[in-house]
Amino acid sequence: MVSQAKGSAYVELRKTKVVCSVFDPREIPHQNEFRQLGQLYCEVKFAPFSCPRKRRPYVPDVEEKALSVALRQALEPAVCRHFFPNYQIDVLIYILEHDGSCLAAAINAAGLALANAAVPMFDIITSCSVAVIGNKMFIDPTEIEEHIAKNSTEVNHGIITMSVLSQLKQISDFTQIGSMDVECVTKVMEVLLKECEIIVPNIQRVLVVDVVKNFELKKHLEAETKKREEILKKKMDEWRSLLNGQ
Amino acid sequence: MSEVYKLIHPVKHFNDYISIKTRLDGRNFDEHRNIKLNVNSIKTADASAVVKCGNTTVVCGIKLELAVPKAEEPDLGFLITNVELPALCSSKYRPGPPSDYAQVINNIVSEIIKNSKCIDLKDLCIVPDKLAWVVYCDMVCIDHDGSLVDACIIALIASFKTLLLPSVNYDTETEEIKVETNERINLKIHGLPVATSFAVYEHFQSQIILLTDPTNYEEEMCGGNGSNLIISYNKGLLCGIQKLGGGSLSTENNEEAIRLAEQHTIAVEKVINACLEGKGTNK
Repeated sequence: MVSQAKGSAYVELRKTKVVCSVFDPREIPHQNEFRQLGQLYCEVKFAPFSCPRKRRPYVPDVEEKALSVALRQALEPAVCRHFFPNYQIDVLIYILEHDGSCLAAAINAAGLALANAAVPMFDIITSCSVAVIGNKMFIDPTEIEEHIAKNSTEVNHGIITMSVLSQLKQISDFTQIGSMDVECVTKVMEVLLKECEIIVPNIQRVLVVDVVKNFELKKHLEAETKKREEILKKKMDEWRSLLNGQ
Repeated sequence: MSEVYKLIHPVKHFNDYISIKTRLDGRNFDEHRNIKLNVNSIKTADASAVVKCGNTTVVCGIKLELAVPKAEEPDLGFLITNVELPALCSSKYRPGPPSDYAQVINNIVSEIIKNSKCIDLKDLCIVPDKLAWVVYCDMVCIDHDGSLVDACIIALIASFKTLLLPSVNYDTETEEIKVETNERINLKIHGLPVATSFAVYEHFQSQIILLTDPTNYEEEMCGGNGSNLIISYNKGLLCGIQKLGGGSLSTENNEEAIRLAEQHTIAVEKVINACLEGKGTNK
């Protein structure tokens, strides 16, 4: 999607719109020691017009930093970091419109962009979130639902975001805001596991379509180059015969 | 093969293409890339537009706020433009505070809008000396492939055209502000400023070549500071020329550039009008 980046992805969860781009590994700035594992540098930024209530300032506020850290924790188990020791991969997320489930959208976008950039990964990472208000569960909440869940005064309230590595059946990250009792949490976890499973075929399809397209484009370009090379060869032979004939 | 050649001999690679009068993507020197425009895609913003000039993608979002006008200009509202070049748009930019280049582009864009007088700040004033609109225009570049200023201005104008100002009732005695969110009034826009970017290349036979709507690669080959020449037109009136680095221009080149910019303006106007009638279309 972003032509200047090594890999990129754009995810829309109904109204929430997230762009992610991934760049080549580069040297870690301000680094003295040698590290066995590569690092992931994640940064999440909100567009100034993305929040419905007020405009965001430029200084990365607490929410952006918290999201960046959460994203990094979710992606680290999925990426094969031993393949780029002492290097750092930049994963940059930009949120164009915030209508709930930002972290889930960001993790999905980052997973897709990393795959698009051909960064070696252990598995496809998918993520989903649920808002709990009282005894009701809202899967993939919108901003209004999230707002109510955070400020609710009921016994069980909050938002849980979970990201899963589907084939390996491992949970890579689990973030919870709010307070709820243990039964509620276990129920929500089962629901989230199922939801993440549902997303996987979509992601696989997108990646496969992209790879097939690139493959066909490459074949097409190679065929054209072969044709041109043949024309050039013929001309070269003509000239050689002319030179030899002289 | 040509990728390798591009890395080892970048200047020669570029020169070879220019010598046969074509560019890397097959365009002529004065051909523009296709423009794709879409409005009202972001619901959290009061008006928005997404522009794709080739690969260059710019999203513009407008947010409205109320404020008290300045004491020395009591009947003028505020128009604040901001251009953001986040690190994800290109590998040239690192995450952190806005780079110098972003501030330069921001300055150019705000100068163009001010000089073209397309928005009258008096229209933004609700009650003189008490209440006025502040229009925050944020342009975010998602993919930087040359001709940033062009894309920014198109996105900005398209979102201005779809901006609806809510009507405000201000009670002077109780100083109560009531905003009717059934937004009604269209913002009055005088004219339609359009910017055209060129890259100025000095061919080794000391021939000056003007490349219209340069891509990132072409901009880098011609100096690296971005487009060398930016001309903005507003309904037949020239409203700004900026030249930043690159080769030197003779007067004929200058005139030719102005002529090309004029033609481009007409084409872009058609695109914007078509888009606003159909709410989302291609060039």
